[in-house]
Formats: sequence, structure tokens, C-alpha cells
Amino acid sequence: MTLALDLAGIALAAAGVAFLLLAALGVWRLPDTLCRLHALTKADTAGLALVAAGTTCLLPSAGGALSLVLCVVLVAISGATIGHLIGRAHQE
Amino acid sequence: MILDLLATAALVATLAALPRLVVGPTAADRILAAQLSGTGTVATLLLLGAASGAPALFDVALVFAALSAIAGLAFVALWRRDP
Amino acid sequence: MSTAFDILVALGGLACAGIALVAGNRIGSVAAFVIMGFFVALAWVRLGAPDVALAEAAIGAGLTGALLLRSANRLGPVREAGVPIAVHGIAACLSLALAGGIVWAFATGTAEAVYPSLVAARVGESGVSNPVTAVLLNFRAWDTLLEVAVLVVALLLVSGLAPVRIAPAPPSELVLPFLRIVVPVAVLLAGHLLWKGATAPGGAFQAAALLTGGGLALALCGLLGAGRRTGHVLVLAGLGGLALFLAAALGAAILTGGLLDYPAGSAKVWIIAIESALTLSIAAMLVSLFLGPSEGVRDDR
Repeated sequence: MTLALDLAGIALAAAGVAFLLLAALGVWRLPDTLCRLHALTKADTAGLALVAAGTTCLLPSAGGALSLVLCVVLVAISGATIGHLIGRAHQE
Repeated sequence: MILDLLATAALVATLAALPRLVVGPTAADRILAAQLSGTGTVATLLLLGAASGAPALFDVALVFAALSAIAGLAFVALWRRDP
Repeated sequence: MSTAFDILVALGGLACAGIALVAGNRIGSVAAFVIMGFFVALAWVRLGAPDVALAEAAIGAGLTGALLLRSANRLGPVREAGVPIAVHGIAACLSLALAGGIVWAFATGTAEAVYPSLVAARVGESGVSNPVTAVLLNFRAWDTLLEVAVLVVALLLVSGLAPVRIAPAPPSELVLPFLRIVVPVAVLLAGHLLWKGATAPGGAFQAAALLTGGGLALALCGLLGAGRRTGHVLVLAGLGGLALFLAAALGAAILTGGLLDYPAGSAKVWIIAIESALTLSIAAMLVSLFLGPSEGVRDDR
């Protein structure tokens, strides 16, 4: 059971890090600002959520999970809002 | 061990925002790079915290997460002309 | 393995510092400086100093970036032909001398750490179990009192210089859901860090920086600091923390005979009371430093 949880945790965290690396690649290589914004917001939401889900599986107790959930919520809503605002400011 | 590796990979994602910081071309691109670095740092801290079993690192990550929008917000609210 | 991580953190910090210096574009420099703060916080984590990492995260990630962007907006774009080559040369010489001095000090100095054992021996008497809080609020509380006084002086100076007060308009209605979640969570987190500071990394400065972050989010969306009264309340709150700290110092002196020498047994109550007041007042001072003085409110666009 513990081993399965550990493996799931590592797999989820690895998927999240892959999202982050892809977003970084996108921000580096994509041709214009809006495309890069598109790549960035995936890292803020999916990437970090997967990393936090993986980390939660690896925690020794469930007590620390609250911090991780809060982290995900804060970064996701910040990323979405700032992405929207930067996109709008760029359009004008 | 594998968590150390993942933390290093997340750090690489944080570093990969730097070229965009140099080439721009618009101010929005540079703020966007800072935003990506912030997310990468939060992920790195979570993975480091899991690897080292130090819950204090989750607090550092939470502080970063709570304040990650301030720089972007200041940029959008204060910067009205493109340099 | 960890060595690779540490080398990457160090290189990242240096690269950001370099970009911040040579970017030739104010937003680029500010963004590089903000990212350098991320790497510095990671470096403190790796050095085993989560207290400093928390402070760097709170101050570096949110507040410095916003303050610098505010200044960058006032200054406008970089003009060509700025700094003469001689100034660059002098700066390079000074930096090299400083770096050489640091290397020399580390190469020749003794590695013996004096303070940890002294603090560990007496931390039981301080009323808290986190050695950093014990030093800041008990053993060396005088230093902390003077640091708060420095902030008050900074606030008075800024009031004297009277920069233009910012009055941003709400950027978009979609910031409201963001504010409704992030500001209350920032306040909760500040309380969490303040309370936790007695036993684990955390404390008044970190909590105050988080509260300031919430305040700046409100101010940048045009929901705080529009009127003259807010400015007065913030300045009064800022001065109130220093006044309470001074009153506590005098009260402790009357009760025990030593300045900031808390009565035995009740040290934790004194420390928590002082830290709570300091959190509110430091946050109020930082927010009013960002907003500018309450006189002369006008639209800055």
C-alpha cells in the first residue's frame, strides 16, 4: 500500500515537473506574447497541482496536505488573474 | 533521491525563464518570465520539502504562493506605457 | 546530486544579478531582481535558514518588486549614454575588493560558531522555543526596537519628501474573485506565521510582510488608500507599534529593573503581545511607504 502510494506520488510529481519544463520551453521558444502566456498558465494550474498532489502522496502524515492545497489554490488563482490582466494590457 | 532529481528539474524550469527575460521583447514578456519563475520556485520548494521532510519549507512555499501575484498586479496597475 | 542543485541555485542567482545590472530596460531589471530573490530564498533554504528564507520570500517576492515597479513607472525608460566608464571602473574595483575581503575572511577566519551554543543554553528562559524569536524578541530585543524605529524614520522621511501618491484604478472586474480569496488567505497566513514564530520558523516581520502583500493587492486594485483618512490611520497604526514596544520596554524596566527584561514566567505573553502589535504596525508602515503620504492625493496617470 505504502509502496503503491509512493510510486503514485513520484509519478504525479514527475508529470507536474514535466508540465513545468514544457511551459518553460514554451515561454522560451513560442513566437509571440499571447502564445507564451498560454504556455505559462498551464504551469500555474496543471503543473503545480500535479506536483502538489504527488507531494501529498509522499507526506508521512495527512496534516501537511492543507498547506499544499492552499499553495495550489493561491498559485492557480493568481496565475489565472495575472494571465488575464497581462493579456488584456497587451491587447490594448 | 528521485525527489532530489525532480526538485532539480523544477529548478531547471525556473532557470529556463531567464532567456525570455533578456530577449523580451515587450515588458509583458519579462513579467511573464518572472511569473513562471515564481511558480517554478513554489514547485521546487514543495519537492525539496517532501525530500527533506521539513514542513517549514511548505510555509516558505505558501508565502511565495500568496505573494506571487503582487509583482504582476503592480505591473498591470502601474505601467501604462510600453517602453 | 544535491551539489548539482546548489550549483544551479548559485548560478541562477548570479545570472539574475547580471541581467538586472545590464538589462538596459527597467522592467527587465526589476523582473530579474525579483527572480534573483527566488534564488536567494532557495539558497537560504539549502543553507538551513528557513527563517531568513521566509523573510526573503515575503519581502523579495512581493514587496520589493512592487516598490521597484512603482519607481520604474515614475522614472520612465532608460536614457542612453547614462553612466560614465570611470564610474563603472570604480564600482568594479570596489566590488572586487569586497569579494576579495569576504574570500579572505572565510579562508583565514576560524569556523567556530560562538552564538548557537550560548543561545541553546538559555533558550529555555526566553519563553519561546524558536531560537531566532528568542534572540529577536528577548535576548536582543533592543536591536529589534531600534529596527522598528528605523522604519518609523523611513516613513517620516518619505512623508517629508512627499512623493506623488499612487491612485490606481481597478484593472478589471475579474480581480475581485482573486482578491476575495488571496487577501483573506494572506491575513490567515500572517496569523499562522505570527503564532508559529514562538516554536518554529516565522515571526512578526514575516507576518507583517504577508499582511502588506494583502494590503498592496487591495491598493493596486484601487480598493485601499483612496482617501486621506486611510493614510492617517495607517501612519497612526505604524507609530502605535513603536509606542507599544517602548511602553513594554519601560513597563518591563519598572517591573524587573532591566530594560526589556521580561518578568520571569510570563515572557511568552509579553513576546506574543509585542509581536502582534509589531506585525500590525510594520504592515501599516510598509503599506503607507508604498502608497506615499496622505497629502496631495491625485491620479497618477
